[in-house]
Amino acid sequence: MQAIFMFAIVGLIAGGLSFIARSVSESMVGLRDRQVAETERFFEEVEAVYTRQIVPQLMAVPEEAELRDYLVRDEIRQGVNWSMAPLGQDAWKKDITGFVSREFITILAATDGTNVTVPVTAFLLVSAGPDREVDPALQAEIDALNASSTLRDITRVEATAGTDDIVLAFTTQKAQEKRWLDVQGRIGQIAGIMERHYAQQIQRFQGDIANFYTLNVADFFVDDGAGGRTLSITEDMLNAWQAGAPGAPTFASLDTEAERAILGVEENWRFIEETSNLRINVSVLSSGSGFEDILRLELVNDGSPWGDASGTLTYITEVAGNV
Amino acid sequence: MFKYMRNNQGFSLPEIVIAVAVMAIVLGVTFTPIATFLDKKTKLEEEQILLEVQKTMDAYARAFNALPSEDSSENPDGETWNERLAQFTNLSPAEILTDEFGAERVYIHTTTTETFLGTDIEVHYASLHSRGGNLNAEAADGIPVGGTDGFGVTYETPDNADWWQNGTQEEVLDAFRNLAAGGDDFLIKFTDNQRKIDAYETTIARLGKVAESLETFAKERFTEAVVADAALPEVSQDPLINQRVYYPQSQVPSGAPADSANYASDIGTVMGPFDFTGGVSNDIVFNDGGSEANHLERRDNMIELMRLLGLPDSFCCSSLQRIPNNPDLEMPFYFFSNPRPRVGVSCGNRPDGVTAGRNIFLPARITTTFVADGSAGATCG
Repeated sequence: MQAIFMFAIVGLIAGGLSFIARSVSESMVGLRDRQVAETERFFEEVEAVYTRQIVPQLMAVPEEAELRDYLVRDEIRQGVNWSMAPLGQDAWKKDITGFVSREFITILAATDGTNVTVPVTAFLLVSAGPDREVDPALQAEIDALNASSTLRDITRVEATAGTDDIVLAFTTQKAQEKRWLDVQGRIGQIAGIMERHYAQQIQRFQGDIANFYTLNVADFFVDDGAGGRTLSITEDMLNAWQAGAPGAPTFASLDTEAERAILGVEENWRFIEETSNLRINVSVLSSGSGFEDILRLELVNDGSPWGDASGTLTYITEVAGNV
Repeated sequence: MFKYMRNNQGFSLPEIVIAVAVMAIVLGVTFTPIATFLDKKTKLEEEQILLEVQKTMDAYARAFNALPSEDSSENPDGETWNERLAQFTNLSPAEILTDEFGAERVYIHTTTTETFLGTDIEVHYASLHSRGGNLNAEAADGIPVGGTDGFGVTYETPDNADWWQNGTQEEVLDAFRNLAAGGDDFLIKFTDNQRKIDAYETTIARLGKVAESLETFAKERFTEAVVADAALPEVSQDPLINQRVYYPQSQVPSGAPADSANYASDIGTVMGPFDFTGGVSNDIVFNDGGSEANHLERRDNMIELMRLLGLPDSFCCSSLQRIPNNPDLEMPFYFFSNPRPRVGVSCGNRPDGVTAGRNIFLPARITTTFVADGSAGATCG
């Protein structure tokens, strides 16, 4: 009887302890799953801030001394929901490791000299996961990365199968290309509107010229000395409109830079010049044959991080005058 | 008999003493671990609930493009912040409000206006703070409690809803960046920053698609005009086909636009082929003022325009804003079919098609804001 009583007491205590242990264990498993999910989400948010916020705003990822500095930038602190541990650490309060590298990539080139080169940054973010230990094989891959590693060397690194390490590798190349396509598209829109405007001006001017010579056709006839009139046309008469003869039509000019709003392109212009640190130079290449001048839109780097080692970026769009 | 009696007399005193002693030893040995276990369990559950609330904030921000205010009078139906959030989680309002230690959590929310690629975006920031097992708010990293930060801003305790959200926008952002729990406190923070970038990109994509569809629409109408005019004497072609406006007609806040005569749809002789809304003065979008009713009417107008252009209804509106008092309705764009050129502050004259150098064919504009100039019936578009 006493033995049964003792067994009951011990069993009761063991049961209670077991319940508490299981309950805590379940909580810990649940929390661990959430910590894994949150760490993965943090990595994804870091990628989003760099590719969708910093690159569009600054046109490139500013260089930092080490990986941790990239993880504590103001944009990261302000743009992610991380609050499980200090920035730069994972949910288990271990430093996030990995590698960062930067390389200049030419995203557009052509035989006419077109050359758009942009800095692309590759990130490798590694959390040791719940066991707080990076798998040795993965660690060896990280250790093998150095200044001469290519962006692909970085992005191909992944977590070893069966381990709890959390790995995210990404580059800003797509974001850079998207930024360029935005700029290029807007230059195309400006050029298209200018071309349409030019065509309308020519259409209007052709009508005015025809009216001018219709009205002045009498001037083309001179007395033939025999009581009649004969046609006599000089080069000066034909060029009368160019010489500014009274009533002669003039080809309406438009200052494409100063009167951007007239063309309705000021928003595109502003996007390029104010948000891209690029500048559009407009020039007219005269072919010497009246309307057939060529309007040239040239993109000039005005302090952006784009371009080759000397910051040179070459992109020209021309609008032919013979439309 | 005696033996039987001995077997039924119960425990002897020594047995009871031994049993109690064993129980005391077992409980004594296990009490500290049990207390630690229970404490750990409470903390784990607090962390889990805070993470759940953080997800709930994300869901709420997706639905309403905003976060609830800590001031219930600013929330729809006067609901408290926890009641608002409870719509998006299995947690009850009480579970959101009260922490696992029995005290109320402190929710703080604020907004800032940030510029992204030249566009102002309203971004929401929030924190949820639990004071932990000791029920006291500890100094948080970078955010003094009852102290002064580097900007000279003094913060109250989290008990007072006048904490890190106090100060200028720069100060608020700096505080949010540094916000973290101190001591045994728990804290989560949430921003819909990325959600707003999503909304910005969605809005830009919609604007681009609508502009493209308008161009296609205008080209089709122009082609119809060419075909219709070919059979007419020139005198009937006034204004000439290349001087007409082929975009659907929009209305300005007051008075009819002076140039309505240029609309292809309003030119009697050639009206038929491109009378797309069935009548004279057939404005499809009314860009009236900024009241709730105006926005709702314009939203209907814009949806009609989207259907005319063959676009989904959702392209009517900006993902970045909601109509006041209608948190589930996106703010409609403004549509200006024949806008004035925008030169500086003054909007300039609307192109007349006659003045040399002035282009009658300014493209139609879709905008997220309405900018009116001082003159009656005028709009910058």
